[in-house]
Amino acid sequence: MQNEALIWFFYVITPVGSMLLTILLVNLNKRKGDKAK
Amino acid sequence: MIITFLLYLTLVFAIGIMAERFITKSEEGYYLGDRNFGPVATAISAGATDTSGWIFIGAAGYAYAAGISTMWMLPGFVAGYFINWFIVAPKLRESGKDTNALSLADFFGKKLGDKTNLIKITASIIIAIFFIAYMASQLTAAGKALDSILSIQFNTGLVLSAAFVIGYAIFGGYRSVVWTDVTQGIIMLAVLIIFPLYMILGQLGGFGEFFKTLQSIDPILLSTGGGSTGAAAFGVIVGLVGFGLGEPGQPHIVQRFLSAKDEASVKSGTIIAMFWVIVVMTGSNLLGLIGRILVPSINDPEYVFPNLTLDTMHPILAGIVLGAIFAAIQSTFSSQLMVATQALASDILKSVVKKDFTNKQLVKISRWTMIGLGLVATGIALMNIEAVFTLVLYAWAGLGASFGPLLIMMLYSNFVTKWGAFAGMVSGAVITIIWKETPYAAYLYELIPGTIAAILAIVIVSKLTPHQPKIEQSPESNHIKEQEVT
Repeated sequence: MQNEALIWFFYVITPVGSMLLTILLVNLNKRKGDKAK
Repeated sequence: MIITFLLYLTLVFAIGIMAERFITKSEEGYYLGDRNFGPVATAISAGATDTSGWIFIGAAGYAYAAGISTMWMLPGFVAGYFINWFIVAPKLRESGKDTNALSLADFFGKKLGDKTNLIKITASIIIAIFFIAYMASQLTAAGKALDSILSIQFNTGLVLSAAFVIGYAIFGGYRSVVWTDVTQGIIMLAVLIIFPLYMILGQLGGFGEFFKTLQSIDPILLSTGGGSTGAAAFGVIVGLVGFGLGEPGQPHIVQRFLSAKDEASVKSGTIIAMFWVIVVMTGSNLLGLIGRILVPSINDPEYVFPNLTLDTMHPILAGIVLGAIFAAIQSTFSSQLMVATQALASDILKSVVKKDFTNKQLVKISRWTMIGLGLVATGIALMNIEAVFTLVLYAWAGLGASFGPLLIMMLYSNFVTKWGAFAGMVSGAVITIIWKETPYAAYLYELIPGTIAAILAIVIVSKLTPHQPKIEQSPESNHIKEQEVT
């Protein structure tokens, strides 16, 4: 199929990657905040 | 179908009206809901406000015409949400509370110590101009949806939609807008997850078969640049990615950060918000593509989702889907109506007529302003001059370029001066308007030149002009006299 890589990038890598990165950064931020307290 | 749709309308109206009971006595209560919203309300309301009728009508129509390449918008929106929730939201919430700012325009003015109110008035004028275009586009989307699904004549549907939203927003202020946003957001989310999955997995043979069918219809539907090649394709991709970068400057969205209860609400809200944008962008793109297979011959691509609903859904489910389209339209329209009203009835009026108003007077003025603004937006929508997609992107670019760079610079540095801020806002708005009229607009989205112009103007003019002395904030700075709101 034409542009299979593009389909994976749009519908799997970007959504899943963004979600995981967000969860990671939020948790890092929370830990940073807890340590500061 | 009509009964399900009417049930949805009744539910939203009841929630909107109910919110009136919870308005507190202050202007902060009417315009910011007393800064008391938790993570779910903050994130879903910001998402529902952000996600206008454009997502079901304009964006789905664009995917119908151009294929998967419109998904280039997703990385851009993800980047925009990252900037908004990690960079803008925490600082703006804190700084907004410290300066007692009730709106974005108010924040700019107070943070810069602008005693002449030039900044507040300029920002409010830009907000009012672009929001009227934006609100008109929402009503156009409503007219199209009612026309195609319920066969209500376009103009009649448009006027009825405007009357409905003004009706509930007028009573409960910001709190009713946020409460209805949350209800509407949940309906939208459900439809955008269930509908595409049901169609692709249940009716179209799974994802592999779905993309194969699209390729057999037209290989351009699976191409990188939607049929464009070379430099033109690059311009298309940059423009599509660039859409999301307008996020930080949207006054109706950043207003949610000013009204967030605490730091924890912003942090937890970030995950919900990111989930939201991914589902919404992917869902609407898939809806357009599904439409390309199931309703191949429609004259206006923006009718794809309504037509798809009518052709494939049971009438009861079609009523729910129509409710979701309306949820998207109404949540954005009501939020913009609220912010535009605040810009005119509070920010500009109080700056020009330097007198004290009682809360009762301010709420009355706000309600009449809301009706006036709603009528102007309805009038423009009735002219039916632009497609929903074009009108939304135009307003989005104007607001993003005028306020986005300025907001970030002001939150993270002290070098912006009053005249630097003024030059940045005006350049962002003017370059957006001018660029749109040039032939280059076909190759590069106006938000990008507008933003570059705004950044340059802020930096250069701030270097050349002196800082203003800061104003001391006091509870009286909002010209409020404590009095019961009735």
